[in-house]
Amino acid sequence: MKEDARLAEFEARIARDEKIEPGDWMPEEYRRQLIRMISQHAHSEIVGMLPEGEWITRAPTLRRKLVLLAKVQDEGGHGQYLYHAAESLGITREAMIDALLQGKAKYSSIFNYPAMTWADIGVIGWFVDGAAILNQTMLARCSYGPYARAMVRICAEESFHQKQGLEIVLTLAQGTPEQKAMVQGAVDRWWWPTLMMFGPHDADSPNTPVLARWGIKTRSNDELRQEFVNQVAPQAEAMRLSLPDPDLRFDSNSGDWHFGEIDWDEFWRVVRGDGPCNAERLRARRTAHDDGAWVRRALAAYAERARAA
Amino acid sequence: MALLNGRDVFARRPECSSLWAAPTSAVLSRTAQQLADPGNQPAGPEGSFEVFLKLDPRGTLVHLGSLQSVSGTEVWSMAASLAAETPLVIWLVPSQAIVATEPEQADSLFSPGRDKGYRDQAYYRVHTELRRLRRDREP
Repeated sequence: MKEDARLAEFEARIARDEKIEPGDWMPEEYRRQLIRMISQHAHSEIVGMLPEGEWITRAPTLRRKLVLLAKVQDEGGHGQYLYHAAESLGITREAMIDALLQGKAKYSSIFNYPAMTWADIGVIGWFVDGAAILNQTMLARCSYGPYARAMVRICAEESFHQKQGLEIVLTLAQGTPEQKAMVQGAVDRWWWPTLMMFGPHDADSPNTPVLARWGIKTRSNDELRQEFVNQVAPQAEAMRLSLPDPDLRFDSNSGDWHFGEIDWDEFWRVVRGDGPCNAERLRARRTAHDDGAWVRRALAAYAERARAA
Repeated sequence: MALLNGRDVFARRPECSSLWAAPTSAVLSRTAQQLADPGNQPAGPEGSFEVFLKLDPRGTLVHLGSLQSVSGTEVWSMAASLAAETPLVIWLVPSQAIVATEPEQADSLFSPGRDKGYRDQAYYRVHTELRRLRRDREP
């Protein structure tokens, strides 16, 4: 079949809502975009373990510690599902990890912000996992089978993450004046970076057109961002927490919460490597990789001995 | 180690009673699209092998049973015939490439997850609490 005919059939399959499975014909650009997206998503899960991992030893109660451990453990698992999904497209685990450790691969820049207080753990669950759920719910319908199925699995577990965070925020927001101030401070620091998680306005997003055409991205960045604000603003209001946006107001005509303009300079600075924790995150991943070298050598030596036996 | 890693990555929620692992290199797979090209099929594995079929695009592969070595490429139609409908994907895995947990290990491997209700989103009453706060604020 000629390339044009194959492309037409591929696009017809997507229009029929069929899933593309590993082994099916796909355009090189589809493969390339998915490898980029899925590997970045995997890196985000792994790097995302770092800001929360710091608070495992400082959780205020045993129950909070157990729950946070379970959440961080889930994130490790999610990273693994996604590396597996990316490998089905022909890239190796080593190549992906290498790209991350060399600073060549991106991950969600939300994880370049520090978790400065215990309240940040609550707000991260409420905001960041909440935003991730919206994005992942959309991706659960994407055209590439392994990615869509990984998203379904991840979404089910992510709901626990978001609710865990909301539970912490609810407790602090109804607590002592110090607790209320701590959680309000965390909200003030995480709100705008969370809105940036949805990416630039679609007009400024170079990858969006081809992702939309091939059924990978079925809702726009701005649509998802609006849905997130509509979901969270009433929750903040119920808890008497303010969101750091003087332009935020409910528009009863559209049913949407109107919000102010994002500082895109900050967004691009952090994406390009100049956020508060970019260097620290990369250092932590490199150290973990180096510290784990003996484990990899031991496993390889064991496998070699078993093969030779 | 593969089984423990598999348990930690894929079976954190208590739905599991048995876990199998096989090297990726041992898996022979074909999609429905690939099977539509009859002149281009690999031969099946030697010896006994396990058949996994994907019948639903949203679902996982389902283990349908084992077959003994079937010569040449007829293995693919034989595997497909184990299901009532045309599969989307077929995986064939030599039985000897699979390591599996023993039934007597199931309890120690998988039951710790059952005690951890806090991993289930249904455990959290956050929306009930938010509704109560909104009601309390109403004049």
